[in-house]
Amino acid sequence: MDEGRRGVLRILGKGSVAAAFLMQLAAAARAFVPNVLYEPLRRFKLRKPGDYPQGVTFDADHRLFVVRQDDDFHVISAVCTHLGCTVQWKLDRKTFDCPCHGSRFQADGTNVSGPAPRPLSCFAVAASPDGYLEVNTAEEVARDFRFVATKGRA
Amino acid sequence: MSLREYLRQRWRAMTWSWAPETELEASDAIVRNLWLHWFPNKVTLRSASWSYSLWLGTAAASLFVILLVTGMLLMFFYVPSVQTAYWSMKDIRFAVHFGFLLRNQHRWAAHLMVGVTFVHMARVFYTGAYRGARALNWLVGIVLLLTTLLLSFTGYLLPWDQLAYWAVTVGTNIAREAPLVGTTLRFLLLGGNEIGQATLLRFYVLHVFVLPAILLILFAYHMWRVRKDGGLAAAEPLRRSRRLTPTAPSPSKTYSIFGVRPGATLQTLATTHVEETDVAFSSPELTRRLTLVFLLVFNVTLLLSIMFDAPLEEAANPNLTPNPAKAPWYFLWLQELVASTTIRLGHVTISGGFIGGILIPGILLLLAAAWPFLDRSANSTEGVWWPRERLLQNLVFTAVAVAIVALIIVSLYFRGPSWGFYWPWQAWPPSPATL
Amino acid sequence: MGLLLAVAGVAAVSRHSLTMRRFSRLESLDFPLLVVLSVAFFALVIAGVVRQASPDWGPIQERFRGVLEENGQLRAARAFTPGIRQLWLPELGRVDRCITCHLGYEWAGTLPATLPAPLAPHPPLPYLDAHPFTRFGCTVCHGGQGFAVTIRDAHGDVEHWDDPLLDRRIAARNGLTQSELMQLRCNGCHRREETTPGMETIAQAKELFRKNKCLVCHVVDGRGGVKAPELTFIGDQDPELFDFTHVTGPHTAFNWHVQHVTHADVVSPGTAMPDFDFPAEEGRALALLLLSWRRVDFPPSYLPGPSAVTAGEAPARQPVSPPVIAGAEAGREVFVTRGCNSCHGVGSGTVIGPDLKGVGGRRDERWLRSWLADPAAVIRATPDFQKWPAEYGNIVMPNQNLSTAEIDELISYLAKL
Repeated sequence: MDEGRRGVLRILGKGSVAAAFLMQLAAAARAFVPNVLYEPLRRFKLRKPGDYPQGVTFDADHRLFVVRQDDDFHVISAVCTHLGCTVQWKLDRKTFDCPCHGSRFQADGTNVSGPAPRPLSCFAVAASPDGYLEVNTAEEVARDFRFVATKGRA
Repeated sequence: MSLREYLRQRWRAMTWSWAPETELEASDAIVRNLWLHWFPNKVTLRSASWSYSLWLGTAAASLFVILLVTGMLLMFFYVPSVQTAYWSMKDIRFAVHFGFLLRNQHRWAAHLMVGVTFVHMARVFYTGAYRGARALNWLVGIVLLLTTLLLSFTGYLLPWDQLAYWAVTVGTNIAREAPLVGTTLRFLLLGGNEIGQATLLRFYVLHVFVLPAILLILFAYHMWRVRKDGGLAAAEPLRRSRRLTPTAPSPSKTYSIFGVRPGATLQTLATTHVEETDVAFSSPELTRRLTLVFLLVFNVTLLLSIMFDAPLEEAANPNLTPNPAKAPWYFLWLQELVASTTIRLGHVTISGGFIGGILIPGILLLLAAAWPFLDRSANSTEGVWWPRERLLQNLVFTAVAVAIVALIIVSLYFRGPSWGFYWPWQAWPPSPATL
Repeated sequence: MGLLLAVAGVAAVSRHSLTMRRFSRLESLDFPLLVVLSVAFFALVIAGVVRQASPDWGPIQERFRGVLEENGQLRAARAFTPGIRQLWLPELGRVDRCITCHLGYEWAGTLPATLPAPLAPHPPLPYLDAHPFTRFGCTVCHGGQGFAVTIRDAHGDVEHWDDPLLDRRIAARNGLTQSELMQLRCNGCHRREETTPGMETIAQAKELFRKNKCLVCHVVDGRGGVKAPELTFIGDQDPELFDFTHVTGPHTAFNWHVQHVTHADVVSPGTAMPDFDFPAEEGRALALLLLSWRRVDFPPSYLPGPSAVTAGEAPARQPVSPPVIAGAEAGREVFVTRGCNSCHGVGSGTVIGPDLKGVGGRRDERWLRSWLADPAAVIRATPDFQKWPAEYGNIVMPNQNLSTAEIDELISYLAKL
């Protein structure tokens, strides 16, 4: 066998070993990116619009606030944009206050004081086919987004 | 022979290397021993002195050994499942014999190790022992410090109480602020979008296997490099003064990681440049002091473990953030920075999480890593404590260290609910109870 | 063993150090340091062993063995082995180690009830048989920290444990007896029963809840009005989420509920909730009831069977929307936001207060003005009206503290109904 062919075979040999090793490494690395999440869904149903009182209702299970004005609904996240603590609605001051570092947000979610860098997220809310409020935390909407619950179904 | 003779012989066979009776035995004790052969045969008196290095590296290593042993024993009782983890901690405290001691020792040794590693780094900086060939070992040391911090951080989550859950929430949210990779990094660390079972399991495996393995390998390399660099920098001034009397370099070979190389290396030259009177045998000098340091460190952790119980707060509750929620103490200076460095320019807000959590520590880390290559002081100041020529940089280092410690103290003792300022003697508003 | 090794090791090292003095160049401090550290090590190890070997329950268990012997239970006394005891309840996810000290718990009838605590047998309550120890344990009813085996930690009155033992002390500082206080735990499972033997205080509270028609505004268990927050699991609400600004006395959820239920507009200014002015005992009973409403995730086999559901019609979910009248939008706004429509319908009959359809024709403006300013004063001043409260569930319309402008706007709306 002449040198040139030997050289090519050598490259092929070492190359395939290297490739096999790299592919193994890539497979191992890919395994660590989760494909399924054991977490609450990002899109979920709350209750029927008629079941909510006027004003701000805290939903502890989903870490958000459901705000109702007459038949207008919108949903604000209760997760502080600073470091992830759960904010609290203060009825007397009409603000969301975060207990961790004192961030404060207005009733529409705008950050006004403290270290929070961004306003509270507002999530898309719509009606599910069977008449429940459905929130999608993967989809953020503008601050003035309102969902109007159809009358007569409450 | 008599039984007594036989026993004395057996005892001697086991312990001869730690208590040599001849110079040959003293040399063999080091060179032929698996555990001790990373020591040189002889060390300079100054290298082995208490006052030069304060034996801080050894103290850190002793703490690591304590952590390995107590950690391994704890693994028989701790369950890394979100339903069971907290209750297994309660069982360790109440229902396992000496469980309280195991857990307390593990926790206090962990806190001490973070502190001692940092002080060791300060010592190396002050004595200029990062220069020249030792620059690589300095970088390895920085990685060791980071690994230690990560070990402490991953371990912090395991009790799955309020303290653990929210400290890791804060920490991983700071990580998210890293530009470009932040969100992905947080997603991979947590195994999802929220802290849950996937997070607990990942942190557990990192904490008990991956990070200790990395630490051990790097530690071994750290020791290898100390030998290859010619021992501690404490010997450099001595060598320089001795080298004034010229001697012919002896032909030699050296064993490197990948094989035998001809020629004189730092290591071999180092040993030929000192006099008989400058050195002592590693066995028994180093070995004795090693034992003493370990005993001292063990005593300290034992004392702390008996006097103070490691904290365990309420079971983790994702729906209720405790007020205040604080990161582990070695990250508290970051949290204090993060809380106070949000910059608002009109409508643009630069997150404090980025400035305080990524930018500032990132800059400090880069400076520390690059310093051996930026340092301009003379070689003659190597291995000297606070030489005049390096006064400025030592002062700056001290200032940064003091600032970090001050920030930690402030956020530990002066910060109360809603991160408000409270004097340590000032009572926090009482936390409401149910009944 | 460890001690022996320590001694041996220390002795060996120190002996060799002495012998090796001729090789030793650095010894100055080392030997004294070695001695000090070894002694300290000894002392610390002994301290650790002593702490482990002298638990709180040790002497108590010794006494119990003596008690068994004194009472003729010789076989049990001989078989008694010291150690931690526990009731493991895997279905509830609980471990109760109370019986490590409370050793007499199952000896009622054999050991005298007069034994001093903690050895006294459990009082032989009539419903104890329905709640056997092996299925329910202790902490489900009594609170406390079942996993702990030190006295303070087990009784749960420590930092970072929010389920303390419901003892006489806690009961007394809330104005209750211990057996009243414990009923709040019973009701966690028995909440759907109208009355349960042994739960008289809770039964009284349920009766009050029915009589005062709380369901008009609050949803409980899927029924009720949505005017006000849902109360189904109000007992789970963390105390930190209550507003104590206008609450007097200790900042506890119990205290908040007592005051809120009794004088709602003091605790929550501007609320539409009437001022019920309950006597103290009733306020406490209601607060107990509210605190008892918690999520209880016991397996179904633990819960009591179905029985008569609390009677009472479920009122309309939403207060009926009052009619829109052109030119009186401001008045309608006041009518809705101040909660008038939670008690008054317009054309839909009596809810709590009378139907207001046509009220503009029945009452003149001067009357309406004086009524809206202070309804109770009008009733007091007019003998004929004093039978009104009885017709409307013994409720006097609460003074809503309306401003003059609000009254003006309201009257302009009411006049057109």
